[in-house]
Amino acid sequence: MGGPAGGDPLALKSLIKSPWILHFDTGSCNGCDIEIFASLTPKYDVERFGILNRGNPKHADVMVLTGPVTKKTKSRLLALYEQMPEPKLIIAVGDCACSGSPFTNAYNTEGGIDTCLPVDVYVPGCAARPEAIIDGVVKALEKLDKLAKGEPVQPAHMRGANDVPAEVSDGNAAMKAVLGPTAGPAAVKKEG
Amino acid sequence: MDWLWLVIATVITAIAPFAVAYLQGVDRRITARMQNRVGPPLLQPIYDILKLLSKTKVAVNKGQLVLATMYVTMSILAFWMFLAGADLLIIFFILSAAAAFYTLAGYAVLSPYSQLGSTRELIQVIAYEPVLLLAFFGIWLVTGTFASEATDKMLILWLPLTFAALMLVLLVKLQKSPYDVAEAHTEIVGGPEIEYSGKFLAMVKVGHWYEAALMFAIISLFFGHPNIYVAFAGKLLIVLLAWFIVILVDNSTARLRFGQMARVVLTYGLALTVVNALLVWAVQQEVIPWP
Repeated sequence: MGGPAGGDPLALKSLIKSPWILHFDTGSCNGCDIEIFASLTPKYDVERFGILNRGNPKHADVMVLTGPVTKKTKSRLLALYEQMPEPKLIIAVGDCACSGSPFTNAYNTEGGIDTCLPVDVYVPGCAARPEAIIDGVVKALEKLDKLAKGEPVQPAHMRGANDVPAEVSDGNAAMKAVLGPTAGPAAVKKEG
Repeated sequence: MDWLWLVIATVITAIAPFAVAYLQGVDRRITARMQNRVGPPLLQPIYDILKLLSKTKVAVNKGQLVLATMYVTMSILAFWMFLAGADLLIIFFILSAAAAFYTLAGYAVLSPYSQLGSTRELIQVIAYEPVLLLAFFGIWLVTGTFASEATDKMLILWLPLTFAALMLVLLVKLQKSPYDVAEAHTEIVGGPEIEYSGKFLAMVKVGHWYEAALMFAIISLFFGHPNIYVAFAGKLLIVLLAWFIVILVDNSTARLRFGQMARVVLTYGLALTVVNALLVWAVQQEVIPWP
């Protein structure tokens, strides 16, 4: 195999240039879903990175998941994951998807996404900001790029317990890079 | 038509998808600017195809793949025959065959979205084919031949209403709003193309590009001039104009239901072509005086 795209640099470049997204809500409160849709609007314009929201696992390369995995959605989540052709990436958006957050040990949930599937990028936040989500996708693509260059990262679905851990997106830093140093919750706290 | 011209036609057929891909990149950029955003790189459609080619092969069943291959072959054949100067009627039937294979490929899987999309695809074929056929009839009235070889006559001056009707056909054929009923991404998630992935999706997309190339080639018939350079520039201009109109309409309308699509195309589209053909006939028979 030799990594994604068979190690062909042109195929890999096009893979990085054209990540199509499948967004699936595994039991989210819709807070993060709204933020994902916000990042698809003209204000954030993710299409400039070639990102398209396809709503179809067979066309998608990146799975963007929100919410803790409830016991009812687990089988659907696994079915969708199986239908995606490789190479594929998983991004967990929001605190619930990252760790299960307030729903940890709840009777009806399994916990975070990583209890069911290997996650490539964690985007924390409640709700995660559009800047952080875009940063998460960029981090996922950087991971693919590293993989192509033979650096020690394996795609999440091949990753064992001893391999390099997944990336964590820093939403506030990403937002500051876009909006300037005064933006973000820290700045609001200082003023208040 | 000699051997050299057949070779040239084959070369043009080989490079046509790249030209259409570039046009679609321009489309995505113009669309983005119309929506006040930046938009993807101009080569984005090429990146998309290369990415799809690099993904692992997953197929639902062999029947669908055979039918999809036939669809792509037929679209390529139709475009090549147009360039080779074949009869417009034969090209029309080959285009119909391509659409039929595409629909059957959609029906070959048991996905409800694919089945729904294929039914809509059939209805849109029923809607645009009479208009296209009558447009060819109008071209025959003016030029006296069904051959697709370029004519010197300025068809747009003879057939302005037919050109307007062809805009409707173009909207349907290129899956542009308000008539993107069969592929309706936000509604039935791509319709007939929902079950393809990776290489096979890329193949179907290239088939769509050849169909688009054929539609543009038909549009380019509407500009003719005895001087070959003027004719070439004019043909390019008229294709770009038609493409811009399609993008403009795509961005300023919402999707209609497939029934509404069929009604508009079969009433206004047919009426425009029939009225235009009658007017041309009346002028030719000197029923209406013309300078």
